[in-house]
This record gives sequence, structure tokens and C-alpha cells, in this order.
Amino acid sequence: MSTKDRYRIAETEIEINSPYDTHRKFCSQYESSSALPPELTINITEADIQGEFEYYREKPSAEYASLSLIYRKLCEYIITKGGFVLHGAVIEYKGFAYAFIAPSGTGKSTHIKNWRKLLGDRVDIVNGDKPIVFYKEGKFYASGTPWAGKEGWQRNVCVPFGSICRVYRGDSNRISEAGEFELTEMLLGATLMPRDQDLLEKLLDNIERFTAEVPAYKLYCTKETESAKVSFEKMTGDSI
Amino acid sequence: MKLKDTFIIRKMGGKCVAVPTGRISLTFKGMITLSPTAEVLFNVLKKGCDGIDDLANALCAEYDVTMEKARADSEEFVEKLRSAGLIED
Repeated sequence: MSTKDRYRIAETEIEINSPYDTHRKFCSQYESSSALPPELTINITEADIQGEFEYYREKPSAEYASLSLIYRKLCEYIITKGGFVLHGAVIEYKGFAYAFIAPSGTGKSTHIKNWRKLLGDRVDIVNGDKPIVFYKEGKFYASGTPWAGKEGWQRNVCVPFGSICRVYRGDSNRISEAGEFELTEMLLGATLMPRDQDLLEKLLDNIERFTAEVPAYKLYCTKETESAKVSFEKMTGDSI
Repeated sequence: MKLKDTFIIRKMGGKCVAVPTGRISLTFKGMITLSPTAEVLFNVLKKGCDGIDDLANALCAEYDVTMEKARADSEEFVEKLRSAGLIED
């Protein structure tokens, strides 16, 4: 049965039409009652879902493929608006977003948990797995999304960027600045690359602008709570 | 001999890079940094060529280098790309 639903994610009014209704519960925190026409209409057909299967080694369920397609189409639209999606965890402190990127299993979630242990209610999660980065009026923002990982950490908020940090596992805790080119490599490994060449060109433009404007770091850290002190003090400029 | 897929070649963060588009990007993530020499060779491979000599000739046209050295550098470069799965003959 086809469903039509309205959501607002990353300050984008979206309408979703899909033969499956898995997105309804999945996107429930982002429901929109706006009467205005949607900025983005995502239409998923059975043919789209069949086409999506060829990109997986193990065929997922049609419901999963539908959500995956919705994500990709949203990602492609965000690129046209100057942004991109990020595989990372984002936490908010004093009104700014601090993002941590790394491949799955490196320790992003552990590190975010350490920030929360150390700082309590002075921080709040923005998104735990796939936030959206978008550009508006001269600033980059991080937005919560329903793609929030196994912890389900998400808030329907958009927060201006403070800084971004690539996390590596280490025997000790140390942080240093990452150059623009280093950050470019980090981001290309942490975003969804579009299949269309023009969109890819636009994504690279967006990344180039991001690396020029947002401070970046690389952190080697342990699982211990005190690792958060090292990244927090460097990235925010505040002391614990 | 040519590159297996399309690439965008451009400057990013002050360096020349090649980013794959299309299906190869499913298995090859990220980008390749190109030195000035690599950039010359990459552009030839992007259009396709008959073999190492075409690549070597392109290097000789750009730089003051012997054909022998140009051939050796070209072979080494093609091998690197081939082992990354980026060359089709």
C-alpha cells in the first residue's frame, strides 16, 4: 500500500511516497505538519527497489532497501544544497556541533559516551551514526536524522559546526590538528559518494568549502573516560 | 589500455586528486593523489592508449627525460593502478 508522508530533516521539507511504510516509524521524530509544498519529494517504486538490490552482496529486505533508497535520494538532494551526509557521531556543546568520524568499530560511540560521562547535561547528542551536514547563510550545520545507529541517538535539531575530529584507536590519548587535505581524505571516506558525475563534482566542491571553513583534528585515544578531556579541551577551547 | 572507470581529476586541498565515479567507487573508496607526472599519465589513461610507449611519449613531451626512464616510470605507474584494479586492457 502506498503511503504519502511529510517530514522535515536538515531544514528540508520532504514528502515520501513508497510502496512500503517502514519509514513511518523510522522517521517519526521528524514528522512535519507543514501545509507548504514539499521542497523534496522522494518517490520510491518497486522497480527502484529491484535496482537497489544489485548494490548489495547479500540481498536485503525490500523494506530495508526502501529506507536505504530514501537515504540516498535525500543525500543527493543535500549535495545540491551545499551539504553532504556523514558517517559519524555528533554531539552538541554550548550551541556548537562537534563531530567524530571513523569507520564502524573504531570507537566513535565509546568516545561520545565518554564526553557524556565527563560533561553530563552540558552536552547533548545530535546524531549517533549518519548526521547530515548542510550549508546555510555562510555556515555549516549538523543535523539529526533518523539514521541513528544501534543506540538510536538522535535529536531533531540543527546545530552550527564547531569542529570535526577523526578518531583512531591508540594506546594513549593525543590530539593534533588535521590539515585541509587530510580532512578531505577523511571526509571522502566518511560520506556517501553519488553515482552521478555532476553530483560528485558538486560534493567535492562542498567538501572543499567545508575543509576551508571548519577546524579539523585527528585523535588517537583509548576507551577510557579521560580520553574525552583531551578532545574536549582542544576542540572547544574550554577546560573541564 | 585505459582506466576501468571514469574519474574526476581536480585540485582539492592544494593537491591534484583523482576521484572515481560509477561502479568502481563501490569497491575503491576515497581518492588518488596525483603528482605532476602521475597527472600526465592519468590523463592519457583516461582517454585510453595502445601501450606503455604512448605513456612514455607523453612524459617525454612534458619533461626532459630519456625514453628509457619514461618507460620505467610508466610501467611502475600502470602496475600500481593495475594492482588497485583500476586498469582494463
